[in-house]
Amino acid sequence: MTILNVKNLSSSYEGQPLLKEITFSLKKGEILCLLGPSGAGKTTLLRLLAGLEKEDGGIVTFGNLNIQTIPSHKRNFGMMFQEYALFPHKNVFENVSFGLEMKKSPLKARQEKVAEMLETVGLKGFAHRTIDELSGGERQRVALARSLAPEPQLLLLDEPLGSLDRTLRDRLSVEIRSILKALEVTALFVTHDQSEAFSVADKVAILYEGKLEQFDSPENIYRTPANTTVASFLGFKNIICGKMDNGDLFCSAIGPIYLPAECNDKQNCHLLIRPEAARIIRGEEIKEDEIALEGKVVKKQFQGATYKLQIEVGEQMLFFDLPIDPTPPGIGYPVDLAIRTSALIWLAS
Amino acid sequence: MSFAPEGVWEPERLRQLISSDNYFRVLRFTFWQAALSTLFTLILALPGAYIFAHFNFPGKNMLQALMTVPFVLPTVVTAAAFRALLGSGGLVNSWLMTALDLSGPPIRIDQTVTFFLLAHIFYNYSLVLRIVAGYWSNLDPDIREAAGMLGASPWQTFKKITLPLLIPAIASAAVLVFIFCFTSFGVILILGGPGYATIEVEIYRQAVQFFNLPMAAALSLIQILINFLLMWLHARIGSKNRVSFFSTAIGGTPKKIKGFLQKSLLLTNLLFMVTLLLAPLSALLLRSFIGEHGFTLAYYSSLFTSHTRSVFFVPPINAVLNSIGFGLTAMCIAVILGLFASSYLASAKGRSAPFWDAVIMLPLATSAVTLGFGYIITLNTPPLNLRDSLALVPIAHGLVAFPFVVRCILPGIRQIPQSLREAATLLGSSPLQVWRRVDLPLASRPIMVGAIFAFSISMGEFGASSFVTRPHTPTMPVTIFRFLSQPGDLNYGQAMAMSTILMLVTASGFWLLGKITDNR
Repeated sequence: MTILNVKNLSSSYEGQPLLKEITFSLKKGEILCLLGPSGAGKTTLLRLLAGLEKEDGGIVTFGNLNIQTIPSHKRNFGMMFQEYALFPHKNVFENVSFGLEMKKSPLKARQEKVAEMLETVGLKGFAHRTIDELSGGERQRVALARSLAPEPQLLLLDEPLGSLDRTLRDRLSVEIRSILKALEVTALFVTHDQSEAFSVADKVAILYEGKLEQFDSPENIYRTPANTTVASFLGFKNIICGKMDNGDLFCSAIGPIYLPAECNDKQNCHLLIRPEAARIIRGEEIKEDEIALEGKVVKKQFQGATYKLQIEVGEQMLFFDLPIDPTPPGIGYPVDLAIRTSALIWLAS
Repeated sequence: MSFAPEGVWEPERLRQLISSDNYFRVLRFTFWQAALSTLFTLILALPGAYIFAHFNFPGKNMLQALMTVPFVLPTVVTAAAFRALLGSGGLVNSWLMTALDLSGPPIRIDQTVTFFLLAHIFYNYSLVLRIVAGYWSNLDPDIREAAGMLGASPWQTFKKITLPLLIPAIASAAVLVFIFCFTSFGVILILGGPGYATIEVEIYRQAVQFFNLPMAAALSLIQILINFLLMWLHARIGSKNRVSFFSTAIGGTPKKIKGFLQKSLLLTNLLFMVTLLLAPLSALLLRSFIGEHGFTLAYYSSLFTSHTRSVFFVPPINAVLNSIGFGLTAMCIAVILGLFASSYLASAKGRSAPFWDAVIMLPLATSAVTLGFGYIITLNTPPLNLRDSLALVPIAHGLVAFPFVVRCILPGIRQIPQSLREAATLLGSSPLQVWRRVDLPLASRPIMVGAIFAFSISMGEFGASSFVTRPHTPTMPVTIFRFLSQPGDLNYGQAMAMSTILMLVTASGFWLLGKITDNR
């Protein structure tokens, strides 16, 4: 059931557009990650939904109700801030119970709910600690408990793991997902970290310079990036520009190749080759669903499970992740590659 | 001296004092008027602090600089300015009388509590505004928004989140205002009339009018004791919460004014500020240009000449140069002392820190009258016979300015992370080098701010100066006081002209201050 509908939402600051005609919808209980580089407008979109900023135009409905005229404190949305914004003059219990207090829920019910929330986030027995006594990870959990306690209809999380170290981040991102899923909360999660987005989200929205570039499941986004912007943001390096000759001959810096599928704009094609799609061939024939490339190893970097190889093909550098067995040739040696055609994606420019 | 008049131990006098009704009456009145002044100042200044902390509007820096002027304006000038505006022969009354064709002045607040309460508000409004606005603007806006997202209405957010978080700043400002009003002297003496006496006024009367020096000294002691307790309280609030005494910089990202509600709030407040702050000062300015026969520059030009019948031996304009010279010397003294004291206080740990903090603030709490009085008593015997020395004025001014300088520099030094000093030490710096190469450059801005404050305070200082200046080297406030105490329109006009010049010099100092803190 679709619960959040955003249509043509736009926003600007002092004449500079921050968001351009954003349109998407979200089902109840889904977790959406807004992914994009800093300055892409992720936080602005979140704050618009929270009612903390005013949009220039567009329509936002939540459960078939237009929420744009409702002030933020009456929306019953929860928000988790980047630096947590815990109330420094209140202890853990008072922080978590604040939202319930605002709902005028009686003390007994508040105590039960706070205890339940603290247990959910793994902070049982922390109720009477002051905020100063908490570590970064503990503060993050208190902030999560506080925003979840009033049972918000929509939870907005603004880079909630941004200031934590890598290990803690990886662990907490999985934990946040399981907590949100257990409580069946609809949530929007802002991050600039792709692996965090993929591990938390049901849906990912890629924002770039205020534009919604792609909205899809994490798998689909990774498998078929919609355009060059999304592909390069996701860290894909093998993007080759060229044009089509005689129908199915792709001419580019890596030399002419026959390709079965076609790109839309014949004069301006962008081909993405995913880095895990290559295997080394030593004299044997390539399969039917493969194409062959010849090149020279320029760099070879051992990464544990794989080697990262930089290979000069024609006049372009390509990067591939290759298994450690059989060992790829060393720097300076020629190499023959077979690439699965399923890993070749035409990108819109 | 209060225990041993004429060199004999005589505690009887003190007992007599404490048992007298008059003493309780004075003490009660002093507390009452200080509390009332503090309350009104807070109520009026908090909306202004909100506006300064949250919004940007044209002329904000200018207004901020202007608002500091009253704080360092000599009490004599303030009293004169309020009389020029609201006294029975003041501008407002004479305009109203002409406009409404009245026979008597419609506003009669001469020698009433209202008159000096107004002056106290005028004095302390900008102090409260600065302290609270500085602190307020540095509160994380996310915290307010978090409360909103949890369902708190704007009013609930203010009541449950913002106000409790502002308490340290408000308390700190309130204690300071209370202290200043508690030791109020010139304003009460001149605007309150003979019917009212604070401890400070009583000290002056006992010492100067009745020559009852032991009684004056006893009163001074009691006042110092109470002030010390208040200062200690202030230091405790400040050290825990890093309330900056004179944080001129307002942090955060101020917004533009939007909507009818915000606009009207801004306009009401600005109107109030301008009326409260500018009206008396403009009355002063106007009176310096308007003589019996309309517009005149005579008051200014006569400042350059030395009349034979005049109260001065030298052209009064020399006072400007004297004041600037004294001001610069006092500034150096106060900054050097302030630096050492701040460095010590910043490194002092544990329970003794608030105590020393209070000791350093003591000159601030010790009224200037007591200070000047003390200098005359103690520095007139060898080996330190400075009573006739030119150095006495800058020393006295330096001492008056010293606590302000400490209040400016100390937060700056406290903010320097200890790890920087440790890094410098491990890179081979001696403690002195660390201080010179890390603390000093990083605190350079607060030091500059403190220096300009010290200079401005020296320019406006009157209480102690009236005891220690020599007749041939008067300072500007002393000159103004002498003009005011002489009859005649020319003297009054010259007092107004000199006050205007003093006001301009002070305002330029603070304009410079605003520039420095802006460019960081």
